Amino acid sequence: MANSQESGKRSLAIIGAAIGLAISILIIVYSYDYAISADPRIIGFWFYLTQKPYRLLQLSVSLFPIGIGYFVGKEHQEKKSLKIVAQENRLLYQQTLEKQEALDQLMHRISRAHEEERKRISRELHDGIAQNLSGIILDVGYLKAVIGEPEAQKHLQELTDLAKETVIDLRRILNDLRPVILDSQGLAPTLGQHVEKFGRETNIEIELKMDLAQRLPPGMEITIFRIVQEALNNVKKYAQAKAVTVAVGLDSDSVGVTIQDDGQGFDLVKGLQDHRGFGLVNMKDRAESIGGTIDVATQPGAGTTIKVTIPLASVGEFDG
Amino acid sequence: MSKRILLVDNSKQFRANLKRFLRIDPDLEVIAEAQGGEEACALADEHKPDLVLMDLKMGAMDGIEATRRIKNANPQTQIIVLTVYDEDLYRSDAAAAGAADYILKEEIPDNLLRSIKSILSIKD
Repeated sequence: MANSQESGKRSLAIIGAAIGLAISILIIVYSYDYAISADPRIIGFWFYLTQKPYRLLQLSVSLFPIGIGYFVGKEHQEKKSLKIVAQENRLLYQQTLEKQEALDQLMHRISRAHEEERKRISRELHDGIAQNLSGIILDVGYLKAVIGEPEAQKHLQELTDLAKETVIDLRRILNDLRPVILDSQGLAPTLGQHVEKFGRETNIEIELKMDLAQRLPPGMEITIFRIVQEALNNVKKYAQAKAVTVAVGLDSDSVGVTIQDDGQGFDLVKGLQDHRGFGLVNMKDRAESIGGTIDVATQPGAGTTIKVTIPLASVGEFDG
Repeated sequence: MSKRILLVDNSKQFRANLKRFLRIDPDLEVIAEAQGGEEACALADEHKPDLVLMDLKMGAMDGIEATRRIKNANPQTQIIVLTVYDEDLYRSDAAAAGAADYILKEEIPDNLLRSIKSILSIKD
């Protein structure tokens, strides 16, 4: 593109120069022609110019249109190039916006697909592996009851203990993948359970204010849960807070989620660059994936308030 | 006289394991098996079992709802929930629906037979 612009610029300047040259030739030809037939004073002046010391001046005057032509052509081409560049910039800006929009959409789809995948894996782990392990524990229990031999009893007990530990590990994985009670019991009990566990594990005083009279679509419930989970994770890791409040409420046209702590706060610009930035970006992506917005208010020494607003208009769109 | 039991679980394999395990106690007899809540309600109405061993998650109708319906229709039938889910909310829901006990599946060998004896008042 740049090369073609450059050569275009040159070609118009050359055309300008060529026109200038033509004009120069015309001037010379006509001036001599005029010199032959016109006023002797003019002839005298022209001859005066053609004398040796002034030949250069005469040549310059004759060639002046070439320079003018060249510069006019170049100038015109410059303007034309600038116009093209501005047009291209507008196009690139538009394309960048479109690409960003497409990228955002892709991120949101990935986020939803990720959650769906977690749900599927969780279901398979429960229906397949957890059930089979439980079955194995039962069969080993039966064998323990019918086999009296002490050595066998000992090994069967070890087998039972191992299988039980595996079920307990599996249960933890299942809960990490997707809160078990979210789909059946809804957001309020799930958040209730989560904040209760958070308070128990961190000794941070935590209050949950739920003002939801209705169940939200599953996609929205899991997103809100993940945002609260991420926010509380940041509180646990960085805030050094004594108390935190989680509030979920329904306004006339939106669902509002607020996570507020009384911790040490942070510089938002710096925070976005360190480890906690990952969590903040994650929360933002999640909020935007269901048409919401996020606002983080914080400064060193003044705690942190994260406010997420999700328009109810987007409720119908996210039912997955 | 043996106690008549209805097994409810969506996994055929698990029902087979459970049935085998219950053979340990000769006083227990499995009289029917269901793989879902609706079927469990129908079989409970038909057989009037002493005890239902009920899974929680079974698709269309879950174990809590099936427990509620069976207890409403057959108050004398006792129900023990057997599940992988270690969730307080499920425990309280199961109790509210009328379940007599809530046992995690990996704890069955340690707790189920004792629980059945206690609930059905079977003497050793």
